[in-house]
Amino acid sequence: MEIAPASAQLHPSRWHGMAWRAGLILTALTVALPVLVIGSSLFTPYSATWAHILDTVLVDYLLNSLALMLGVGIGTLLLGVVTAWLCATCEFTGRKFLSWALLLPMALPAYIIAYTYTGMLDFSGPVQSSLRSWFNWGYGDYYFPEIRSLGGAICMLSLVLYPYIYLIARVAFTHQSGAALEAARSLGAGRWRTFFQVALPMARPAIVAGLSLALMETLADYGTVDYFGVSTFTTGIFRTWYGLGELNTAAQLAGFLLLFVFILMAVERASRNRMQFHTTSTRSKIRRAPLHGPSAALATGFCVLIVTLGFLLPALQLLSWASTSWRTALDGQFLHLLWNSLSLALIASLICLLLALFLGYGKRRYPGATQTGAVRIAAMGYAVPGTVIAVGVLIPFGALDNQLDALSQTLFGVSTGLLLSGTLVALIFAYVVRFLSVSLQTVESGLSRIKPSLDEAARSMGSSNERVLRDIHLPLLRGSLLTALLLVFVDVLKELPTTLILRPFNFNTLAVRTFELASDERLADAALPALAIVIIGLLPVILLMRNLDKGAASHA
Amino acid sequence: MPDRLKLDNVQVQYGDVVAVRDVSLSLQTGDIGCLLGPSGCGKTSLLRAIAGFETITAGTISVENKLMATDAVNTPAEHRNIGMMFQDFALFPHLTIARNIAFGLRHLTSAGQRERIRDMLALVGLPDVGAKFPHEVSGGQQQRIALARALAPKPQLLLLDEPFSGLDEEQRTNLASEIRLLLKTQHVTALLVTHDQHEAFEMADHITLMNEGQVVQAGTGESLYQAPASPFAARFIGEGSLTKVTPSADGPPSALQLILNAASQLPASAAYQVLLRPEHLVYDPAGVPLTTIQRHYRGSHYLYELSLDDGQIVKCIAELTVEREPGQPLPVRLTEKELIVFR
Repeated sequence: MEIAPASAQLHPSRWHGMAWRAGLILTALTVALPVLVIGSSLFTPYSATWAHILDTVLVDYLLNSLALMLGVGIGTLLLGVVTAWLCATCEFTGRKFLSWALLLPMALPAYIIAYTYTGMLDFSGPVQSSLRSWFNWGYGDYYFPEIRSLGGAICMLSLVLYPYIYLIARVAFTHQSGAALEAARSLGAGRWRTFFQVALPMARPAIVAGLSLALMETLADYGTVDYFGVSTFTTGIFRTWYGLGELNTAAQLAGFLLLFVFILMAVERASRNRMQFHTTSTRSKIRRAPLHGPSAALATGFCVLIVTLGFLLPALQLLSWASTSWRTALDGQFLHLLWNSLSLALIASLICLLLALFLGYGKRRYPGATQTGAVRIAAMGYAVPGTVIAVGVLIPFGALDNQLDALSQTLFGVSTGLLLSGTLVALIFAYVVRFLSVSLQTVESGLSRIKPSLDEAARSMGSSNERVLRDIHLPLLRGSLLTALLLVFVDVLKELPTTLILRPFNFNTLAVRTFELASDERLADAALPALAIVIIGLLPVILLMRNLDKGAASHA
Repeated sequence: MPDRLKLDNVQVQYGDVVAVRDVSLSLQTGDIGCLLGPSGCGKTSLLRAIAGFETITAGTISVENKLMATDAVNTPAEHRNIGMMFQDFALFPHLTIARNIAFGLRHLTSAGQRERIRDMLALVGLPDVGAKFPHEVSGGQQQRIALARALAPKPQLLLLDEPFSGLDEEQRTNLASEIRLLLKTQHVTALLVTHDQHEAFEMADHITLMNEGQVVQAGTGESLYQAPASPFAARFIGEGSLTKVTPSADGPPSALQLILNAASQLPASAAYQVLLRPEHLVYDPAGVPLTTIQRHYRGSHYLYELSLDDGQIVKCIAELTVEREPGQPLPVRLTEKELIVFR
């Protein structure tokens, strides 16, 4: 404690403060454990396999991951910035409907859109079949691009990740001072110069923040690249662990992946800091310029095309597959999958919510550099790929299990086996590490809206701390708490690589089953679990749309 | 000499709503004009139409005899060579102050740009801020930089949209006279929009008073104050009370009639309104007693609000030696011989 208390009466709150502080630090350290393990693995001895990896696949991993990031970066920027600019500053047919429909692709996990397009575009799929029957072509008569390729993966990821940029850039463009754009024109700049020299640079921090989120998702992706046979860091980590059985080597690969992530995190943080200088007064709202004739048709057409490719087509394809297969697919096993997924997601989201409340209140009641740092560390998981977290959980949990087992053997002569690492405990812990930031962000923004003067007003009218919590905070926070629950719930439901690595033997979820069926080329059978994921995934998108209408940009 | 700015019967319409109706005005080279009026009177719409951000639905706008806008033609804002200073200054947050000023100087060489930036910053008294970003300087400094940026390309006309509303009271009056001096020494022709008559008096050579989209009266500040041509102008300019005088057929004359009759020969028979400014009434022990409603301390004097028999309020300035509490009578006399009367 920096300040000596003036009287002995202050001591109880001093102990309180220290207890909270210790609790926060402990939580942060626990949550940071997987990342610390992965980071420190970089400094452990490198096995003989490394020479082999270096010679053969590492360059592939590196080049493919970089090419993927470059491609997805360009793709998401193009789609995200153009749609955001159109919806924020122009008026054209269907703008209102399209400006929220453009969020729909967020409901589709990349691995689902990837296998759906594979089904649509492969030799026996509807597209090529129609082409052949229209033009009377036979096998080998024509060239058709291969979707299962690096280029295909870039297209798929761009189609579902552009909303990260669209969302944040749209808010930036909308809140841009209309006067700044008019000032540029009164200084002699035409429309294009105004856009490229004023509007775009003013929105750049927001766009870069959105881009770094999209690239983090790209790095974290496992399902798409594995399905398309593109070797990246995430598939490499899987192969090293499952194929070679080298956990430490997998961890070291994960460590290199983490370096990329940290660069993105630094970029994102710096951009968000700069955003505050770039939001000027909102007194002069931007006015949407009506588009006419061909340009209006072009704007509508472009947005419709993106929504169609990013959501409508794959969703319709899933529906049509599900309509043929649901009779056989909708069985006891499917209900079991549903139950597994829902209960797992509910438990993880509840734990995340409780921890977020603990961290949020701790930071609020006992502010300080240590507390802020602890909360920031606990919120790091959103950037770390699920594959990395999973390996980072396996190592310490495995070590702990071995210790316990040895202890029990010597004391009681009984083997405990795998107490933690082979069970749901490890899986749920990994979910919490990865998604705590989501609920933390929501809870913190909710708490920040409750001004301290409200607490003080209630206290001055004789309310106890407990009553303030129950009668003031709870009603005001309810929306944020539900949002936090829902967001984590859906994220857990969609999460593939963490579940694949950490699930107990023979334990399946909707995401895992979808991926397995799709990987076995049983595309129609995969449709039902996939559709379930998409429908549940629509919930937070709808929430986001409602928030967007209120002018608030919330968790993306 | 041709008018620098000339508006003929300009109309601005948003859908069915007519924001500006039939406005004509002109501004001579080197003059500072002002559009004054309450919020929603159409003054900002008119200013934006001159800048080129609104299209006009009737009439013409010309600058130096060159047609800028009609109901059919609309020169884009970027081709009008009209500078504008915005209410929130609208400095580009991502550019340094020097590059903000350079934004409109693309026609110059980089050496020419540097020189002009240096001149402009010296002109507004901020020679050393060029390398800073807008958020690093104070509000008052941002305003001067916005002025420097607008003036840098040597526009034919400078428009100022509520230029002082973003600043606090203290900075306002100083800056207004400072900026007027600067515009005058640089021979800038300017048109400003404000709802604040004191700013208008401080800055402008000519004031155009607007209400409900139309010009109510135009002239110097003095003429608007001394000879308001309509009840609206009388109420809007200055601190006067527009007082109703109703004829009393029989019975004793009212206090107001007594005051008026003692000073002039205003008709006692017909109903009319008379403009009474605070300085028109003075304390006189032999005057007509009115009831004190409130006393405001104004440092050098008191401003009294007094009630007539029918409840109408008039204001009166009195020396600090004249002290009355609310409810007490204060005898007053009229000093002005030629009152403004609206029938």
